[in-house]
Amino acid sequence: MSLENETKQTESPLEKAKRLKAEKEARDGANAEAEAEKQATAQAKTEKLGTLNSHKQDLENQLNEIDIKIEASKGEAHETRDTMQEAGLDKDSEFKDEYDLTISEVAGNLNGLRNERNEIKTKLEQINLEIENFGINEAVSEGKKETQEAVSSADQENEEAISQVKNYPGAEAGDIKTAEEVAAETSGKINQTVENSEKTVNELVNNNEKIEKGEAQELKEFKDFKDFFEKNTEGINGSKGLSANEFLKNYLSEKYPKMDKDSQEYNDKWTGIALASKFNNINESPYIKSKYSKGLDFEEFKNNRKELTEKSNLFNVIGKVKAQMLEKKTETQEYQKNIIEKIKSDEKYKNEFTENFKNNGFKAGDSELINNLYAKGLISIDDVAKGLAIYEKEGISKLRNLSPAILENLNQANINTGDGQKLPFKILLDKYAKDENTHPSLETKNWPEMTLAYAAPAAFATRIAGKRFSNELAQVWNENFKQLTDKIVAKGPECAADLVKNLGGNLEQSILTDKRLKIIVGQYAKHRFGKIGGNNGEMVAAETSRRLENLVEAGVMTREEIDNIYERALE
Amino acid sequence: MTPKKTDQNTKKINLIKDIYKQTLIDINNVRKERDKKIKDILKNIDKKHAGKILQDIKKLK
Repeated sequence: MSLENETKQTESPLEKAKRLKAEKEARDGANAEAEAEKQATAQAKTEKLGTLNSHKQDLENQLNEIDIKIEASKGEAHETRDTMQEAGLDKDSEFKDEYDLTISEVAGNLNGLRNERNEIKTKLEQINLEIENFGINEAVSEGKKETQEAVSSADQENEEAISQVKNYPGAEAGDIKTAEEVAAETSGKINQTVENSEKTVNELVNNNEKIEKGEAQELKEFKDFKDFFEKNTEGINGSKGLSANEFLKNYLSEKYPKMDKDSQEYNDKWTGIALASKFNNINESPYIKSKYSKGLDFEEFKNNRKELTEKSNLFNVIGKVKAQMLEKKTETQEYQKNIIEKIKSDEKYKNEFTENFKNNGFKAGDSELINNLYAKGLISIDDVAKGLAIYEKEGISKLRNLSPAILENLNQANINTGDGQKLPFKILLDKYAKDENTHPSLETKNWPEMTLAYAAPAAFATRIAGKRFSNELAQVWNENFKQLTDKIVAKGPECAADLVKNLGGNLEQSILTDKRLKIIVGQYAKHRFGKIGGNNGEMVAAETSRRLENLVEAGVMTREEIDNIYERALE
Repeated sequence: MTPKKTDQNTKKINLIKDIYKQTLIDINNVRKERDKKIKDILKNIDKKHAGKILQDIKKLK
């Protein structure tokens, strides 16, 4: 009989009651302590996650701020360069050094900001990873802590076990040695167990595939269907005029002859194969190939099918538009090259071309051709001015694509008005700039962007006029335009789409006049690309993409800026 | 985080917990095994000790 039982047999009911009370209190105390520790751990976890999220928010804010600074710095850098180039500082030996120094300075500032952005982005990526894996990291850290506690206890017990044998009456040196060997063996086994579990956990944390349950049933079924399709389309008969749905019906009839065609099971088989087929197609799409180096996971496809399909379509639309634009550009270059060669070698053709230009103005995309012809001395400044003058107000918009060399000399040009008079070209600009209909009004409260759409070309004209002809009016125009742009930028994304739509063909001039409007372009694109899943979504995306590509062509936004917009839409 | 990623993380967390739980069970088994071996050593000492006493008693007779 054990000592404990003997004690229990001799205790009185009162003693027993006291003992039980003490036992219960001890148990409750231990439970309360465990609960408190549990709550403290949960609280610490929540606080840790809160700190990470708050840090993330800070970094996101910093990223937004730096993006705005970069945009502003880019605008300033371009304006600095343009200002100096317009004055010819880059070609004047007296100012060339100052020019180079200033360019290096603005480039340095911009690079500094870009580096700062990269650092913030890296930190943000790290923190996102920490947040994403927070639960996993906590589980690992908790598991390691518990394991370590168990290892420490076992080590302590090993020491105690050896001491127990050493101090045991009658123990000999051989017994102590055996006890030490048992302790060492225990320690070795425990270390091996811990090492194995750490290895498994590490593999699990670093490899997603370990936890997949193998190939999905739908994919297996689809493979069988594909084999059936291939087997039945071999030889000269091909598909025998059967549609994919008919093949699927035949496949299911052959493989599951007893299955009721109206049953849920039959329906599930059918939709499963159709889904797997779509998965197969999307996995081959350029978007998925560029984003998922190991291919898309079927589960992810099932969970995010709509989003993935839309992004894949958007990717295709953008790629198609880019290819079309490139083809068009190559064609245009070829067209220009041919015309220049013909003008050079054929005097009659040259005269016909010039007369046609003076009387009918620009054909679409002809600005670059005129720039080239002027640079090669194949068209005079008077003829260019005449070609512009036929447009009256619209002639202003033609100015924006002309080379600085033409713009520099336009004030020397005279327009033959047809009645024998010759007017300086500046009259055209002044006339446009003074036109009340195009004056930007700050009174338009609801839709200042509409006013901006009208104001943009006028502001551009007066900007040129102000620089070339010292027109005081330019100052007023530019100030009004700036105030309008302030309002637009302050209104933010909600008016982006309407604004860009209303700006229409004047978008390029508006950006040239105020670089902050690039932000609005990004917001507009995001809004429009977001419609890809709706009716005519692909058409809308293509039109938007074309507009963005035109901005690159017009030189008002860089390739990098536009590609960033695409990238954000596809993120 | 996408639903797929959330699901994957939940699976991972559960598996990690299971692995560590199993590790603790394995460690405890090794400890029990050790305790048994130590107990056997002590029993053996007792046995040897008792045998020696018996021999001494026999010699006394």
